[in-house]
Amino acid sequence: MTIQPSPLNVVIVGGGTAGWMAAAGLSSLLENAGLNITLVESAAIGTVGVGEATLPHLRFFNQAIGIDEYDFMAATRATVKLGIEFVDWGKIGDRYIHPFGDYGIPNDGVGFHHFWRRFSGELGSISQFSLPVVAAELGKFEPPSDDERSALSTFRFAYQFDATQYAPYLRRHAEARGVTRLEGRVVDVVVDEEGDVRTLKLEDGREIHGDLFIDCSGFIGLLIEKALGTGYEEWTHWLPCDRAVAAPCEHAGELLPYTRATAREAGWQWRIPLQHRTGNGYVYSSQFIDDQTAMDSLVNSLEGPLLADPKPLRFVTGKRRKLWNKNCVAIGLSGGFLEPLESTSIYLIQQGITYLIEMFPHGVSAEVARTEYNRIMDLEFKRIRDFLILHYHATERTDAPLWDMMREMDVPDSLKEKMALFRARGQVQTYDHGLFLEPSWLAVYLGQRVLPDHYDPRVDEYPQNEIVSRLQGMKTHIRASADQMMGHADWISLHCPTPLEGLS
Amino acid sequence: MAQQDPVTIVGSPLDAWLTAVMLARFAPLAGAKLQVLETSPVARVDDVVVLRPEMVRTNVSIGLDPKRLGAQPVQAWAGPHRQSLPFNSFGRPLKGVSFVAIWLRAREELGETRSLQSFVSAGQTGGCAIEVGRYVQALKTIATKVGVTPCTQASEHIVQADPNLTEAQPDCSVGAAVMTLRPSTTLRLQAVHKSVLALIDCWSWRENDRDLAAREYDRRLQAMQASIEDMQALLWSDGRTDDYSSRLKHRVSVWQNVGRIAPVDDDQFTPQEWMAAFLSAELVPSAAGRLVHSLTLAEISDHVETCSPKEVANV
Ligand SMILES: Cc1cc2nc3c(=O)[nH]c(=O)nc-3n(C[C@H](O)[C@H](O)[C@H](O)COP(=O)(O)OP(=O)(O)OC[C@H]3O[C@@H](n4cnc5c(N)ncnc54)[C@H](O)[C@@H]3O)c2cc1C
Repeated sequence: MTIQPSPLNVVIVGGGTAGWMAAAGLSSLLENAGLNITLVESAAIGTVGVGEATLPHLRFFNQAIGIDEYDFMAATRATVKLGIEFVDWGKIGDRYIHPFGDYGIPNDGVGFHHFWRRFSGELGSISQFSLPVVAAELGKFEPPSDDERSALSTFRFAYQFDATQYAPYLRRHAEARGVTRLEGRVVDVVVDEEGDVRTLKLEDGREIHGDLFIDCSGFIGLLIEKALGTGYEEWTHWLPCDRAVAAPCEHAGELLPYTRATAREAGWQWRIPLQHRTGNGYVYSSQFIDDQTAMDSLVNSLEGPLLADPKPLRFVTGKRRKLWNKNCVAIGLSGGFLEPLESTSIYLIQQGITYLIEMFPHGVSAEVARTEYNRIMDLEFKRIRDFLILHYHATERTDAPLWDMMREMDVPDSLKEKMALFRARGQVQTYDHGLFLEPSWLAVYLGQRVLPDHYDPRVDEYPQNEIVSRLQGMKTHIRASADQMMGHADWISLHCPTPLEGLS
Repeated sequence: MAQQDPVTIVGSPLDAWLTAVMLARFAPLAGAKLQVLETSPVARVDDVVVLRPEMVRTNVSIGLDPKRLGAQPVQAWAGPHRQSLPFNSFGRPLKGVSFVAIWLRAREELGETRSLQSFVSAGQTGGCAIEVGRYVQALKTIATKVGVTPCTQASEHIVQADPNLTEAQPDCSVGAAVMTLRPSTTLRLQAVHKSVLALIDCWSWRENDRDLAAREYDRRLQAMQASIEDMQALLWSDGRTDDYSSRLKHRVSVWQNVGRIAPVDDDQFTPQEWMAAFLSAELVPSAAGRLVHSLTLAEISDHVETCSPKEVANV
């Protein structure tokens, strides 16, 4: 006896990265599961057009839905990302890379960073104990190894890609799996007496009926907010940046396998190297700089000629009170936004889709799934939020009012306790679920001068000379492993170059 | 607890010697001597206790290899009503679909009659069963090697592992002294093991980190306690849900409606242990969810067969 789940009409509003990731994810992973998926998007409205730096998790999403990595990289003009370089955050002149990988190896349960803290005079920077940092600085890359004994197994990588290319790439994938795309502008949303969304009305009079709606309409939150009035939890008092201006420019110099985030007077500036150009943007707080000055400041700092008009963007940091409300799930910018300092938005889209698929309602009612989904996504957002606040708060900068404010700011209790614990004992308060594990917290703490007052005294139980020479050996080995890698640009041109006609 | 006075660990032989050896081996004691004050035993010497896989690893790293003491490998530990809580997972996922969902669909549509528990992967788990007497003896032998002695002098610093001691003012509590535990030596040892690991991480190094370290220790204990209490409520409830915490109620409803173990931080048990505990309380998911329909029935049937253990697991 075959029991087919009752057919369910799923309607996705929005054809940006979120909309097409949702369409590709659902149509690939829930193939044969009785879903009729329709996506409606409006070319006239367009997409946000930014979002170029990602996290390693995206590789698994692409793999799960059957995308060939090299084909995807060529199509989206992608480069490799081994981490993010933070410049001028702790103090002007400081720089460090937050890598996708570990520092050294722990010994008998004592974290590597305690050994480093004890012998930092002899050992130099902790970054030299991270293969992705050393490789990034040398402009090298090779995919990680599965062999746990190899230094090459201690890191992961992500992509830097053209934000305008990923959605069209996924669209081909989703349409081939039966997703129906409608071009049109939603002008009205019909909500029934239960409070569920029932029908979307398009400008040309067409109506789209659905059982489950996925709101990927961007900042506007067409369904989740405009129609359902879900409410928004704002976090601007902790993360005051509320605007950005983005501008691509021509490359200058080497193709770097990392993103750069440079702290500026009223925010920070990103630099994302792609195969054919460099993406740039200034994320700032309108309390501290006006739009024109921000734009001029960005344009004047570019490494090469401008390739398009600077694009201004506005946002409010925070999240919807419920990301799944009634029969509507908000994924992407419609669900909330945390500034792109750690490239977390696409990750949150991916998590939203993954949890939705795992909990996808069998019938139409989904009370429990909804509660659980909201609980987990809330956790995801809040953990990222605290990590982002740390970047601003852990600063010694006194050169601009933004930095004075951030340094003195009262941070969430959850973060306060974490920082105090690290300062006093070098202990990283970890968690099992959510983004950013111990190495990430370490990277930012140590990179931004939050140094533990003391190292773990167990370090003193080891013979000093032996430890120092072992650690020196580890450093040499990491350096040799990085030296043996291929140049990043060579690796790209060997495996996934964008065909010349794609390089417009 | 940065001091040179001896630290006295007070508890039943099993709890106290395990605590003492772990502290001696891993905690930054700054030269402080450890001594053990034994209280009444909670287990008979010929009782057999199950050590979870992670406990076995800790034991090996303190120099105690249970295999050498005649410990037998086990696949699961047992609840009060002979519920079997496996260390290995149930079957394997297929194309991102969990085995539970596959099994549920096989039950619904292919007439599968075997229980989920019968699909526990065979293979070594790392867990083992060991006789209490031999285990305590071995702990004492190691204790001697690492300088822990039976209690010989009064001391102001006490680590309390016995819940029945009320007159002493301990510096901190571990294991059964932290929370009310049901009569299960496995759970009791797990509580000792996890709380001592937390204590090692949060051992105060200096006067001025004492409060912070204590708060962090409490935070971790609370998480441990919540998880163990939920498991106890489930295993000992006899079908009553009055003792369920709101967190457990939520996890039950997620399991029943979505077929998923809601993730929580510092969970002391693996998803398969929760699944087994739910199933033995006759809490079965109402439907397999949609994701499993991405597989064909032929794929499901084949996969169920390949996951069917060739040999019966010994519990
Ligand atoms: C300055 C900035 C920098 C960023 N950098 C990064 C980064 O480096 N890494 C990262 O992971 N993320 C980044 N992000 C976030 C990232 O851009 C988004 O998460 C991602 O692009 C997804 O956007 P979206 O699909 O939710 O929304 P959008 O791209 O805005 O798409 C919305 C869609 O809804 C459609 N739509 C809207 N209204 C209607 C209507 N009435 N009728 C029909 N269709 C409608 C639009 O046409 C469009 O197709 C950044 C964001 C900003 C603002």
